[in-house]
Amino acid sequence: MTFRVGYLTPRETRIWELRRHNLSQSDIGRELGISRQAIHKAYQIIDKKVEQAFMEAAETNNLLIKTVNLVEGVMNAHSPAYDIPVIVSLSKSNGLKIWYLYEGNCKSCHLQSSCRNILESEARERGIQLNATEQLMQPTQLAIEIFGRYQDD
Amino acid sequence: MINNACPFAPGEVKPRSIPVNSNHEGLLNRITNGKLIVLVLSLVGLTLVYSHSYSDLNWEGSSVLFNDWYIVKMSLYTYLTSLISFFIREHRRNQR
Repeated sequence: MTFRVGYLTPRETRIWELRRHNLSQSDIGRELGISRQAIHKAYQIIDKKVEQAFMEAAETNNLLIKTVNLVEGVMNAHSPAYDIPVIVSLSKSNGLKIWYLYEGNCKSCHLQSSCRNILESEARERGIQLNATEQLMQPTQLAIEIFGRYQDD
Repeated sequence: MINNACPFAPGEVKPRSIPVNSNHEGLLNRITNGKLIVLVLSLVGLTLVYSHSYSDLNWEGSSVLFNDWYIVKMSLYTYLTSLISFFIREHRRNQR
């Protein structure tokens, strides 16, 4: 149970994952062999933990929270220091990641392939199918393709 | 309209590399965890010690370890045993 995965235990992470794939409480209960009531209770604990992780991420990075999507594990925020929008993502494979929304340039960045790997696993985990065009995108653009769908504005 | 997102803030000094969790499928991680390696090595070690001290055969000067694919068979047996025990442990962990 670490901050990296929102303090979720392996069992809670699994429930969170199944919930993100739009499975009902009863279906998750059946899948894991536990009652629907237990799943309902787990939801409350998971939401609290994920929210806490986002709050702490915002506090540590001096971000102003705009919206939090506890089910998808995405927080929209604003960075007063850089005066730009920020997306904070939480996933099983990559933990908490901060994405600063600005005109980045991947061509001159030596971390391009690492970023691509992170984003591909994010898409996979979120059940997002990347088409051929998206697969050829620079990671900065791919990030906005993946996380942009959770933005409110 | 902004159509880019970067894990580094503008002007931030980038590290040489960023950690990437490449075993998201978890298989490699699951079959190479510390406890399992210790278990496998212990079983292989014990097998070798046992076979080495099998005095009746050694007296006759035949090298037990290299006869009839002994090492291969015992390694396979050990591997299968540890695999089964690993899946039992996984099953128990999932039941919790």
